[in-house]
Amino acid sequence: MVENNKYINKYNFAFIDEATKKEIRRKLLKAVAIPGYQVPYSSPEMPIARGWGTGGLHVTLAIIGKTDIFKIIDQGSDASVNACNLRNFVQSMTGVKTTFDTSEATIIQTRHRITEEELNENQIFVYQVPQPEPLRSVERYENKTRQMHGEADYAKMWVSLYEQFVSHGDIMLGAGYPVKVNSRYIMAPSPIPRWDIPNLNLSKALHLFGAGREKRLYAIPPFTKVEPLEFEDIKFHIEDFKGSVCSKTGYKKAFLDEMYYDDGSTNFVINDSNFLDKLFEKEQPIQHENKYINQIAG
Amino acid sequence: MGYVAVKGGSDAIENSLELVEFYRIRNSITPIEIEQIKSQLRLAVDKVMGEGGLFTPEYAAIALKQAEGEVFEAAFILRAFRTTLQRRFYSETINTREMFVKRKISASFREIPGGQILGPTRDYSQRIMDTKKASESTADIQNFLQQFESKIDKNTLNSIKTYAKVIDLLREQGLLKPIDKKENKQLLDITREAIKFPAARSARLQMLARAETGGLMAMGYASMRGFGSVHPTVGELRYGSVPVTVKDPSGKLRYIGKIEVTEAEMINGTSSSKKSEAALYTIGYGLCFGQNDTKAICMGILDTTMRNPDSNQPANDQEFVLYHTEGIESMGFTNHLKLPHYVTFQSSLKNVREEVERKKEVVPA
Amino acid sequence: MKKEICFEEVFDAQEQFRIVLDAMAHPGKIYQLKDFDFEAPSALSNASAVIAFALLNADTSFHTLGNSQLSEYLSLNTGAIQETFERADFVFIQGNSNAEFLFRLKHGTLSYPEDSATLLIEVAEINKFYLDGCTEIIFRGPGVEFENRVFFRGLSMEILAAVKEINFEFPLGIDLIFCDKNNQIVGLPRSNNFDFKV
Repeated sequence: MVENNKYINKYNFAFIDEATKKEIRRKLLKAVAIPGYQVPYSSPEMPIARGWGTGGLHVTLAIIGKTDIFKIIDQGSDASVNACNLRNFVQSMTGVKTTFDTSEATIIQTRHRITEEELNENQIFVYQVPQPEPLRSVERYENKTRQMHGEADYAKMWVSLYEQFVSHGDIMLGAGYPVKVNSRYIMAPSPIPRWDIPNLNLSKALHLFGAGREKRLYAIPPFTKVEPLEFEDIKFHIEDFKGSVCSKTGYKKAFLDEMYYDDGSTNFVINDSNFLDKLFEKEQPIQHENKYINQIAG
Repeated sequence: MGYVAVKGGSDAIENSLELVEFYRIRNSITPIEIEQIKSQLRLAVDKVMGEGGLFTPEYAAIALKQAEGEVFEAAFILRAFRTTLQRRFYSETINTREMFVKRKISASFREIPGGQILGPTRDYSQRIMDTKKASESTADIQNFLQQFESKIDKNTLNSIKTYAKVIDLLREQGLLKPIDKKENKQLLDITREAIKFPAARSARLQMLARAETGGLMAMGYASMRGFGSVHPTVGELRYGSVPVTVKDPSGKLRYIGKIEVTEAEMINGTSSSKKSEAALYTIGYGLCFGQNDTKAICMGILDTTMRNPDSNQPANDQEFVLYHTEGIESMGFTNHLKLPHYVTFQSSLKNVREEVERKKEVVPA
Repeated sequence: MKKEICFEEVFDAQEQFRIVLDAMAHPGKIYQLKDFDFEAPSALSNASAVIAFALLNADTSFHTLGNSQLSEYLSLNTGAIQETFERADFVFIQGNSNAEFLFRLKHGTLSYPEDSATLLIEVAEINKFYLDGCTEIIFRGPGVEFENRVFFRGLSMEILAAVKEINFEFPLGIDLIFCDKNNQIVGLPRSNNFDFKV
């Protein structure tokens, strides 16, 4: 019986071909050398839809090796459907060990949250980015925003923030609050909540950002200054949960999810699923510390 | 560690995939053959190849079968497949003057060299539902093929001709505007590097060649209706097969096969600001895989609009046209709204609730 | 001229790249690359060869300051294209090279600062501790917690002065990797606000 080999597919380790991996790797090195600057890259198609994490995947698959331990979360949860799909893909293309445990992972890919548990020098944090251009809301044209970044001409952005304050009494940006990196580039940190923004500043880990659809890579090296945009008299602040506590652990110093139940009741639960699990099991994970969290009582 | 707060993601995915398969086949036990899709759904296959950016009727047919006929999804599958393939060569430029012409028309002239050849087109059919297709039998098909072939006398076949182009006539008569010396003629490969704006013409044409037909159609239509500056005439529209050659490592040219393409050359009038210069014609060019008149024509319209940037005209705006007619990216991003956004939303809830509080304080209830 | 076969295209490239990434993300920290049995021209240390094999391919270009043996070796083993020093992506020099030409390396544009050279500099020795007669670089900036001090033997002050001047135009600039004879590397991205002395 002759076996029909015609349609049998063999995939390269980590799916992406070696030439593209090299291109991404070279671009990542430049991104790290110019913190916060968006490097254009080829962004080849993946079997995952655009807008669903191809950029994060490009970065992960270009850097991952056999001995890495991979964690992936979506909105803070390891078990979220899209995280599961991407984890399956990475695992089947590399054979690497995967984990839900933040402290065990060497590469953590995320959609829109930074882990509550502190990151260390041996970890790389990879962000899935929908819109890498922080100035897109004030300037729709790419060739203009590129010029603005080149000349550090951020006036339009500052004016827009001030106008929000005038109309609404506060800067109305929620997730994805723009930051200034290394006192030079304004950067889109991906739609992480304000809660997570201070944890980018002087972090011990390397943060890599991949925007697949828009075809941009950027990076924040460890120990780099990352400052949310604010005015002298209109300061940045994190979300205020007004003393709400996690109904499962009683903890209040973490980003909380608002839950609605069939019986009409509501409560809050810690959003970061691994952090929640560890607290629930009475483990003591070391949490990120920053001046905003430290102000929360209890 | 025993307790896990959130679980079930993997199970949900497995179940949904099983359901997809169930929905695909539960109502009909007879598998559709790939040959049937290639042959009897030929134009869907052509569209998928054009938007997938890969000429392979067989794999396009498999993708259509896998995607239950959803053309966006099938084109996406083909694009992803394309990424896994090794690139061995860049071909030599194909020469459509070498085309084995199956269809050739011009709206600009009544008679053209080689004549107007309608070819296989539904342009002049009536779109009346043909219910007989519901009871088509193998015998019906065989009868038709027999009758059709009986009209061809195999002893008096003509040799295959190739045809000069209509635009060659215009060029000979000095009626075509010379190409702008300042135009960026760099030959890029947009699958290897991100497009940068303002984009070189090669990059624009490549994006258009892989763009989604409906998106291009909307933009082309908009241009004709006043949201762009161009309402051209079809100089020539051709469909047929062209030979593809590559250079081997020793530099020798090698024929590797043929592909089917539709080509459109759209003639536009221009105006001239200089008194000494006559208002000559320009050509907008369109080329795509398979038989797809709509796509080739709209490519030709948009090639011209984008050569005349005008931020007041959406169809003349490179970034607007190229970013938003990219089918795989558009489909992905519009659909990504289905992904959980509850953290993002929680962040915004905080802002809005606080603003409501602030405004309450100012205006007591 | 040997075509090396001991460098594994998939896994060696990935592992060694991760070390280079760490070096660029932690300027002034000394990293160790893997030892291979290369038969490279003497101008190319094992460390530089590793970096070349990990990063270069037919989509990149390089320059070797007139060392035709080295150029041939790199072309053969990576497929990278030889270019003038104004256009090369990767430039291989010795630590005691003349520094004048550095000003002509591509250092990017304001819109595309990444379109700039990466400079691989061969030195005799890199050391965390004081070495007699060596050049000391004090690293400060992104990637460095407070400051890192590293000593280099076989590195001219002229080169460092030129680099400092070029990178003053940040984000325009060039990025450096120092390689020594013991497979050690140190990265110096243009974001680094370094000082140097003898």
